[in-house]
Amino acid sequence: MGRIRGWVLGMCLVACLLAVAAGPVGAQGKPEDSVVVYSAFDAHGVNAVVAAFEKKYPGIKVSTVVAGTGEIIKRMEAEKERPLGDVVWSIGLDAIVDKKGLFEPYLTKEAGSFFPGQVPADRVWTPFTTMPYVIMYNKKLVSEAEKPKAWKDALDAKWKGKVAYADASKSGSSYILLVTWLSIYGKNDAGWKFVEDLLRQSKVLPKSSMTYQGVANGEYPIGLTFEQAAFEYLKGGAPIGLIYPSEGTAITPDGSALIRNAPHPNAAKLFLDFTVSKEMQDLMVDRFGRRSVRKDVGSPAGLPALDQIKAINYDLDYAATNRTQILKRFQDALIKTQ
Amino acid sequence: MARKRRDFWWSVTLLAFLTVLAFLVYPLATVLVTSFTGEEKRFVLAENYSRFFSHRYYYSSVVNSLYLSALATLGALVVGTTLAFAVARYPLPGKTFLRTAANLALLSPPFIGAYSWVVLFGRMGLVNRALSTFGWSLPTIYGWRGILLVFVVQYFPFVFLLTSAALRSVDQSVEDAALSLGSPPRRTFRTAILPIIAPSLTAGALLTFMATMADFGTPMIIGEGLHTLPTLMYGEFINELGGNPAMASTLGSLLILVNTAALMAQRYYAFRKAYNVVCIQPLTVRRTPARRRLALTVFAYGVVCVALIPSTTILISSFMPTRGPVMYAGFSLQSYQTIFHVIPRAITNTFFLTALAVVLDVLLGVLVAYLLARRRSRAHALLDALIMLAYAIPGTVVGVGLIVVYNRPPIILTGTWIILLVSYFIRHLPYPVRSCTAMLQQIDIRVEEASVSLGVPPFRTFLKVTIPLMFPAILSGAALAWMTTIGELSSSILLYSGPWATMSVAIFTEVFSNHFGTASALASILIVAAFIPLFLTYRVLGERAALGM
Repeated sequence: MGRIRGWVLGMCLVACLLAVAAGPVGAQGKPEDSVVVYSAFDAHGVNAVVAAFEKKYPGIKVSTVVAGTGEIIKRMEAEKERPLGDVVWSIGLDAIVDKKGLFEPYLTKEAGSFFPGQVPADRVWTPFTTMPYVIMYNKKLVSEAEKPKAWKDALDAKWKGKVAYADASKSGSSYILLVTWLSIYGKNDAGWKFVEDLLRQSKVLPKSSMTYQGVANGEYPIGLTFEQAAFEYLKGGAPIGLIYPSEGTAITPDGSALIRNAPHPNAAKLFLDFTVSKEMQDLMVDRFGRRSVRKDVGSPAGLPALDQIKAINYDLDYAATNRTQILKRFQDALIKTQ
Repeated sequence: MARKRRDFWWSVTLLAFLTVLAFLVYPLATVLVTSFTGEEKRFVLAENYSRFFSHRYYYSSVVNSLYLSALATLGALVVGTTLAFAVARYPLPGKTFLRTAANLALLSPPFIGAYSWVVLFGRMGLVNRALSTFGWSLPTIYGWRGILLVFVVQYFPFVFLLTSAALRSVDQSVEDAALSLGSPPRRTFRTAILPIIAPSLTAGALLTFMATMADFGTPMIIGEGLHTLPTLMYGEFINELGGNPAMASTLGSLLILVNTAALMAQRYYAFRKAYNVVCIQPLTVRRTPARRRLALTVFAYGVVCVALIPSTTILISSFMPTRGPVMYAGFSLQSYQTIFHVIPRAITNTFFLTALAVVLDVLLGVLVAYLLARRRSRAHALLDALIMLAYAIPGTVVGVGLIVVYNRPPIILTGTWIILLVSYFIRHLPYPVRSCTAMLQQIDIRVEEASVSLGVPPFRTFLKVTIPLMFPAILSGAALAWMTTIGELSSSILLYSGPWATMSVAIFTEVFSNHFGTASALASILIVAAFIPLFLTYRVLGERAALGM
């Protein structure tokens, strides 16, 4: 009996200590003592941000699940009845828009410092970092003189079978590229003719990582991909170059969002705010070569500033609402050309 | 007495059924039902079927898969049995090394294994670059020839392991009798030895066939546009853009259909062709002319060297200095320092979960194998098929099913390590079951009957007579389960939570974020972790074999 009382007292003491240690009480409500983060971000980046967060909020224990966007969405759908995660961080935006029902709208307190147009009207997602889409080439296989300068240059006969591009139905970044071309060449038969011509030139790969790995390793001279992946190889000293096509390119962010019915909603909000705080965005730029969504943070060293890159108006709503039809037509184009 | 015996095996049957129903059938049924319900989805399903069979792009995947798996199985049979015979019957140097190394091929850590083939044999791979200085080049690794090569090299150990175990149970007197009756050696092999090892041989072929049918990593990385069933299915199921679960189910059912048919064919064959033998004196090592011995040595070491290519590449890469995703020539412990700094728990997690799962697999596996081999009934045939289902179904599907079922009352397992254990246990149960069943089919039931008639109670007989006779099969089954569990990725990635990331998950996330150095370092630890128990297993088995077990 005395033993049980001892336990109860002990538990009470622990609970009190935890309550004291729980740290600052935000405007949104009292943060819980833990938060579960699902992320498709680089494991090293996850560790750096989590360590900084736990230092700033010592009462909140962060546990992470790092996986691809597809795996994260599958996991969330399976857990729908009783969500186990609180917040997704740095996953493909299209996936969030597509599965809106799984998420809770939220407007971060940092939103005022973002570049314009980085917060959706329905507030379902919050941007994390942003990136342009590029043509990546291997300098050992492509000379400066012959390197393509525009998307359409990839149609040149000399690149037949040498353009690496991931299947848009399997890769979020490839889908953004597809919509980019449709936005430039027309969301009609003309645009699709361009896509088909491009597919005839391409090796269609099942994973976007195979595009930039392949180009960096010299398996393919040219790859169509996103800047940040290519930039990592550039920084690492791989013989590659980046081209911002003259027709313009999409510059879109990856996203974070709160999970609906999450077990720790308040801690989740704190975490989400933290990822877009000035100090974390500085860290992303300096250490991870990512581009910030904040106006008060510069570009990574070695990359042109965002306003020097010709951007197209990437219509996220068009991309999200017409996805099924676009991918179906893409599949048909694939069947026709491969 | 008889009553008691029946009670024990009856409860084992019940336990096995309950386990399989709770952890496999029910979760899978839930997945299927959820993806088929709803008007809209039913419509999509019908559309998918017509789409599947009207486009070459889709239906060619079935043809590709069947074609590749059949050829790979054939290749694995030839390589695996030849190697098993060479090791068992000829005085080759370094047999323990050969046995252990051949098995390492099975442990191709996720993604990074197939990637190493590209690093070496890709268009700009190390080998082709070296050859190009002499103006030579190798045929491309991409496409079906490359996949076939990798499949054979990766999966022949299934045949090798099971055939070796079976050969150890063939008594020398069988061969002696045939030879003394005037049968020439070749015919002796065909008519006396082959029938005895046939169940194990076909079990090895079955495992190869099913594994190649379900393998998606290899065709994905070196297929370059060649679609197989699993690559199409993986694309539809785990898809950054949501995917098409109905199409994935269509493909999944086809995969299950093909694998179940293969399983049934093997079971039918093994039942009909089961011969019982008592092994007192195992097959002796033959004296051979030096030339033949040399040829076999070259063959054995050649096979093993090719099989070791991925592991060697990984081991070397793990010691290379890296900057971001790019590796440089040189030597550095940088990658190892990073993993011990960033993800130390993954290593202990992996060992804990794998060890526990393998122990459970062996415990249940041995009992179930006994039921399947000694108490054939309809119920047991069903149990057999259900257990093998675990092998045929992709880990991703099992993972999703387990989450859906065990994330709601009455039993909540999600978010704990138990759900990982459950998945590992159920998915690798077929290994000990297969190896032990195959072995039991060769052990003469009269040995057990003799023990019982001498007054030893049946269950004691099982423990004291049957289990020791099955020992090689138990060990090789455990070794297979250990090797395949330790690198399991497809369900781990969905089931792990917080601190319970395993090494395979860590490798995946490292490859995913282009840190090949750290991924290689982790993969190297994984390879060594699989290597040491295997090596010990062969040491133990080798001694037992010498003692005439």
